[in-house]
Amino acid sequence: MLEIKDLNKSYGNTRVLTDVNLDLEEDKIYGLLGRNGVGKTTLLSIISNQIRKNSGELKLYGEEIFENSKALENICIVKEKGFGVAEVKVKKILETARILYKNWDEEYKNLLIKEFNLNIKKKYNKLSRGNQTIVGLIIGLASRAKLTIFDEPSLGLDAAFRYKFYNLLLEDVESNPRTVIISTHLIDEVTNLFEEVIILKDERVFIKDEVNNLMKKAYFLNGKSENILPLVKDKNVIHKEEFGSSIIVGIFDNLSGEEKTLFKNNNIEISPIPLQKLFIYLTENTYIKEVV
Amino acid sequence: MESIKRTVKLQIKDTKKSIIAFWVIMLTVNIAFYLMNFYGRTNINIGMSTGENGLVFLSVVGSNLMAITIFLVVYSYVMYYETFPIVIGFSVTRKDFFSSVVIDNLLVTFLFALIQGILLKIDPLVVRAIGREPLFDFSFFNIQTDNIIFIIFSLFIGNIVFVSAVNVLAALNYKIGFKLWIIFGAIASLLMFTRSGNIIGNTILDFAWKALNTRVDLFHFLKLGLIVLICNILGYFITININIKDKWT
Repeated sequence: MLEIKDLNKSYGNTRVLTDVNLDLEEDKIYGLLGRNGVGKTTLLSIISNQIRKNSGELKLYGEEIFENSKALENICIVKEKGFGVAEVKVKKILETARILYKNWDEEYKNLLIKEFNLNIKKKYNKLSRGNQTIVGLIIGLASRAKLTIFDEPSLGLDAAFRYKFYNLLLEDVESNPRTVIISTHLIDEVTNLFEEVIILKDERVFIKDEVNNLMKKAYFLNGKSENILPLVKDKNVIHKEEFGSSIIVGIFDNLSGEEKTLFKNNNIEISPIPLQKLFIYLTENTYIKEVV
Repeated sequence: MESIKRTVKLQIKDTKKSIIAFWVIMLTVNIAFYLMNFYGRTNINIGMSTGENGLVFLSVVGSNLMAITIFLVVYSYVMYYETFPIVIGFSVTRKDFFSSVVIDNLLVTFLFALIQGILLKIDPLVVRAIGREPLFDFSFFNIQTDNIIFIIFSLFIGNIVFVSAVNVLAALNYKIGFKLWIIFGAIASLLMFTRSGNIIGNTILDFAWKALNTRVDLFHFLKLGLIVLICNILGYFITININIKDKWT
C-alpha cells in the first residue's frame, strides 16, 4: 500500500533520515517507535506531504505522494503539535476537516464529541493539552482515511481517555478497515494494538517486523551467572543486570526447543521481554548493529 | 479537481462571514458619513474630497477604497497564516491550495468591485441630495462619464493586481518569517540613502502609483495582466516550497 524507497531528509547539515526503505501493507496497524529526535515526526510529515523530502520515492497505491491530491486524499495525519494555527475554534477545525476529507463521517464525529465530552465552542489554544489531543483523535478517526497517522496520540490524555481511544480505534478499524500508523512512547499500553512495529535508529529503519515475531525472539534469562553466561556467549545479548551471583540477561535471538530445555535444566528461568523494554534495550545499545 | 473544489468551498465559507461583516460596517459608516455631512457644518467634508476653484467635491463611498485595501491585505495574510497550515495539515496539496487562492481571489475582488462600483454610481445622487458637490473624477475612471461596467472592471483589475502582489508578500512572509522585514528594511535603506537607490526607489514607487491610478485602456490592461501573471508565478513557486510551521512566527 505504502512504499518508501531510499528516502533521505536533512535539516541544513543535520541528517535526519538516511536511505529509509519501507513497505506497509493494507489494513494493518503499525507502531512507529524510536528515541526522541530520531526522525519519527519527520518521516510521518514527509509521508503526509507536510514537509519536503530531499530525495527518494514515496508511493501510496502506486501513486507518488508528494503534491499529488489523488494519493493525499487517502491520508490523514494527526500531529502532536496541532494544526499550525493559534486562535481557531474547535468547531471551525472540525468543519474544515468535514469539508476537506472525502470519506469524513459526520455522524461518527458527533458521537466521538459526546464520548470524549469535548467542548467544540472553545478556541483550540484555550483547550487543555489533553483536549487538544482529543480534537486530533476525533479528526483521525472520523476522517476514515485509508492511511491514518497518529503522531503521539496520547499526549496529555489521562489513562481512561487513552484506553477509550485504543478501544474506539480497534472497533473502528474492525468495521472500517484501513492502515494506521501510531507513533508513541507509551509502548506497553499499545502493544496489543500493533500488528507490526517499525523501529527507527541512527537515521534508518532498524527493525520492521510483526510484534509476535519480535516477542518470540525476546527473552529474559534469570539465574546464576556461571550457568547463564556460557550458554549465551553465541547469542545476541541486548541487556545484562547482575545481582551478586545472579544475573538477568536479555537476549534477542531465536531459541530452539532444545536450548529452552537446556536453560530449564540449568535452573534458568525464561520469561518474555515486554515490548517497551525490548525497544529500550534495542535502541540504547550502540553495539547492536544488526537484528537477528 | 475534487480537492480544489473542496478547498475553494472552504475558502468561500471562511471569507463569507468576514465579507458580510465588512460591508455591513462599511454601509453603516457610509450612511453615518452622509448624515454627518448633512447635519454637520458645511465647511467640513467627511469622506473623500478634493477642491477646485473654491468648490469642494465629495465622495463618501470613495473613502471605502482605503478600507478595501486594508481588508485585502488582511484577507491575503489570513489565507497564508491560517488557512494554509490547516488545509495542508488536512492533506491538501500546495498546488491545489494555490489554485483555490487564485479562484477565491477572483471571486472576492470581483464581488468587492461590483459592490463598490454600484455604490460609487449611487454616491453622487446622495451627495447632491444632502447639498454637496459630488466627486466624479477618480483618475482611473469617471463616475459621470463612464458606464458602470467599466467602473466595476477598473476596480476589479485594480483589486486583483493589488491582491496578487500582497499574496506574494504573505507567502514569502510565512515562508521566511520576520527575516522578510529585515530584508525589506535593508533594501529600503539602500533605496533611500544612495543616489542610484533613490532613482530606482522613485521609479518603483512611480510605477506602482501609475499602475493603480491610470485609466485602463488595452495597453494598460495588458500591463496589469502581466503584473498579475508575474505575481502569481512568483506566488506559486513560493507556495509549493513552503513547509508547514507548527506555530506562528
